[in-house]
Amino acid sequence: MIDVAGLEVGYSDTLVLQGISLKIPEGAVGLLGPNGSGKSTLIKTLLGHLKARSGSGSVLGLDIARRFLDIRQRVGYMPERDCFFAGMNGIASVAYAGQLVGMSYADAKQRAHEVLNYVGLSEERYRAVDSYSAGMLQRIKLAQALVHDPKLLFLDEPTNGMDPRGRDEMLELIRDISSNKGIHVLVSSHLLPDVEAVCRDVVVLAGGEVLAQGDIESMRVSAGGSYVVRIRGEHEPFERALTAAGCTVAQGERATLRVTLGDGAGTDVVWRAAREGGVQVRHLEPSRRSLEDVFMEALESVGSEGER
Amino acid sequence: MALYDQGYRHWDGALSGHATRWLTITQHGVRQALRNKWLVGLLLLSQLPMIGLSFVAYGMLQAGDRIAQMEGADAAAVRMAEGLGADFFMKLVPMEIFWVVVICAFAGAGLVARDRESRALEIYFSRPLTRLDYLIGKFGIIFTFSMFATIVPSLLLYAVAVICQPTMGYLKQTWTMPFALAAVSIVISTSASAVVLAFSSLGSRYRLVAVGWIGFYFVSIGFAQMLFGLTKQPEFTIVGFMNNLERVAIALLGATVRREYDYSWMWSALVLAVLTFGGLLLVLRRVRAVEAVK
Repeated sequence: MIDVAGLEVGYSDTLVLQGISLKIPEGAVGLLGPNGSGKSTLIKTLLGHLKARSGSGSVLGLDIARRFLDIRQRVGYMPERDCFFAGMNGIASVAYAGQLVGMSYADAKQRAHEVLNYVGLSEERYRAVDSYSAGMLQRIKLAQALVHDPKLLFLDEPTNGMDPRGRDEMLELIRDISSNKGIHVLVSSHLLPDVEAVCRDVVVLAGGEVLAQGDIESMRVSAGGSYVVRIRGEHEPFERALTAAGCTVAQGERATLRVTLGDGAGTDVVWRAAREGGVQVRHLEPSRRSLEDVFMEALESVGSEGER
Repeated sequence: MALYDQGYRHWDGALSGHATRWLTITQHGVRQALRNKWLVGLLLLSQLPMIGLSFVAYGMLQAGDRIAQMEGADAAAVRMAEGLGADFFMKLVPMEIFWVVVICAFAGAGLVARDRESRALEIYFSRPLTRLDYLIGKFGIIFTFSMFATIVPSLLLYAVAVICQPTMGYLKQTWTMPFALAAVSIVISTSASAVVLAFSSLGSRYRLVAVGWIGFYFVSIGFAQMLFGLTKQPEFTIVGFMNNLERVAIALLGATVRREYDYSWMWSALVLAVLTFGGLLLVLRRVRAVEAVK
């Protein structure tokens, strides 16, 4: 869906994206990173708003440097900041956004009614957009991005400024768009739960570099041979036996232990230690990290590399 | 009912080509602006000078009838062409310029400024639009209103002058006048539209932009008059925006050159060209989807 190689982008003398390369698959993909990590810059470069200093990229097979107008015709973009056509009501402003893509007035108007219903703004469609609340502005930005039925949606911080209920509804809409409507979605956010809630894949950006990318489920499963173990019996002898076998043991959640096996060791080490410690293993499964753990580890790895 | 149950249908209609995308901005902008009753009122008021001069033309026609009775129809046509000629239509020009300036302040000052204030540029440029499409589209809006305040009264006044004539002699004598009037209208509308758009692109508060534009108009005239008054050198009047428009209009209509305009009209044309192209280039530079972050 999106392919980028060695992309360097900056503003005046500041380099924001430092030669990143990534392949974003179809479906719902999260672009995760702290503020200032280059998420919005990447989206703006993909839309042709910013020129790359070096490197190349394509969106839906279209070159970002030469065919940015074709890309914008096929992509819907929901900007991060509040933005609207001043002096218009909801219907007029969504219909105008459709006309700017090339839809006829009649088509754009009809479609505006449909998408405003879909995003939950049917009651406020004739109200001046200038008077909309932050949550309503988020919804109308989504409607404007959807009006021409794009193949791909770029959503930049889609839940910004929304109350908890509005946020849940927005995430539900995004999930529906990506899983039931056949529209691919790239969600840029610094909010881990948002990305976790709607995306299958994730790209972690920080300091203008790609720290990690891939399927969220497989990223959550610890790559370091770490397991969550719950036992019945005394912890101490069991932990001693594990440590003696070269494992690292830490306290997990809800009276569990997080056991990281030594190099090349298998789960038989755990069973042996249980026998030696005289305990019963009630639960043993690969340790699954939250996306936050993955994110924090990626950030820490960059931090420690920086210190070296 | 959950939101997603409300349905979403795919749309597979045809999209228009890119070449006329600017027209969407112009058409939409004109429709949107005409909802404002104040603007409609100003556009109607801008026709008042034409109505006033129509009465003058009618009065001259009465005199023409008497000439025709005394000296014959041909002599009357010649006298009419003199009386209702370039100098007569030149009387309309300063009033047209004034109304164009007022209309530009009202309808043009916010064209880019309000988009900057509401960050609508991000929406515009997330669509398949270039900055040139945006510029032409916005220019088209204010140009349309400016032309309404210039070409409509000019041609209507000429039509009144022709219709009231008893013979076709006047039309034969002055058939190039509509083209000259159209050219004057285009020069006034183009220059004013470009400059007001440039002002609009400089700020995000359209009221301040409107004040700046009106200020530019009156201060430049005042400065030109002051310099001319002090030095008696007509060349100094090229610092006045209106003065340049008038000087070029005099040349296009073939009207009598007044003392303060006793220099080549090419200088004024050059000043207007610089203001117009400079203004448009400034808008192109200022209009971006992404503000530079330093």
